[in-house]
Amino acid sequence: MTVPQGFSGDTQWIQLVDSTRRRRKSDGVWQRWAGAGLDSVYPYWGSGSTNDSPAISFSPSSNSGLTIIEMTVADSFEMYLMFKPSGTNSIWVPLRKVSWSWSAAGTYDGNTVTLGSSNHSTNPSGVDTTDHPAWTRNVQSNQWVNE
Amino acid sequence: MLKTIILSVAAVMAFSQAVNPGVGLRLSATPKRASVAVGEPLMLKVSTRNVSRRSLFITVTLAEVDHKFEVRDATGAAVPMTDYGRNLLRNAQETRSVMVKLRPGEEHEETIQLEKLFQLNKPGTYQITVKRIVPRTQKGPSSNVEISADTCTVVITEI
Repeated sequence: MTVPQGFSGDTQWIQLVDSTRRRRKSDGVWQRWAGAGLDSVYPYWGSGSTNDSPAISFSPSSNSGLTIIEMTVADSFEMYLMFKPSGTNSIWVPLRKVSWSWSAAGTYDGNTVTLGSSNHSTNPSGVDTTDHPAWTRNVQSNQWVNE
Repeated sequence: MLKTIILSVAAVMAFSQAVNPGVGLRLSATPKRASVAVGEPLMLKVSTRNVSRRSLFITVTLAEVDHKFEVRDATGAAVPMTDYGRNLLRNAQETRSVMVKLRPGEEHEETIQLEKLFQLNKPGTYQITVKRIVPRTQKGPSSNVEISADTCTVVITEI
């Protein structure tokens, strides 16, 4: 991103996400990790350009001994580009936002992960916005719960 | 004598390369304050620097998840995680996964509030070692390798 001549200030990115992730354990029980909120950290990224390659993993990050045999994901995102002009008492204001999403389903047979259905936004375009991103929780406070 | 020194240096270099073959990233961890009182935030600055001669990529999700922490008290005992820390590791999902390009000499820096992850509620001296998995710069038996920062020390004092 380039700030036009005559202006100066800082930029940052903020991303909101509405996520629903499901997984089936080897005992057949389905679990759900779902909710909307800030995507992980504020700001999402500090300056310049940014990107996202969200993922799901069949290997739980903790040593839980879980074996996951099936997973689905449906994530919808809103990425905001924010600008704060130089000077005292300036505030962050939104400039543009991009809405995008991805979804997928996959299975794991103990050796191989097989991708089932999948979908994602294709070249999502940004729009001017005056809407400030708003959230009341961080999506990382979602928990895996039995369905 | 000179010959001995040169041989020694060569041996150290060979050893370093054997430990982390094909790694162009260096990890460092530094507490923002070497001493904090019980209950005060223990902010740990963690930096991944490209020490190679070409651009490298790292993936950034959540700093608390991207890194592995070993926290030991003065007796060498591992400090247990907090409920928050355990929950975060158990439940964190990759909704955010940023591919970061590091040019030669560039670094990516993050700050972690360590007392939120570990039960650092008793005065004492603690040793902290931070590790992370990074891609190899060369083909090897595995595409990833674990790198480690030098262990750092922090003192937690009475309020």
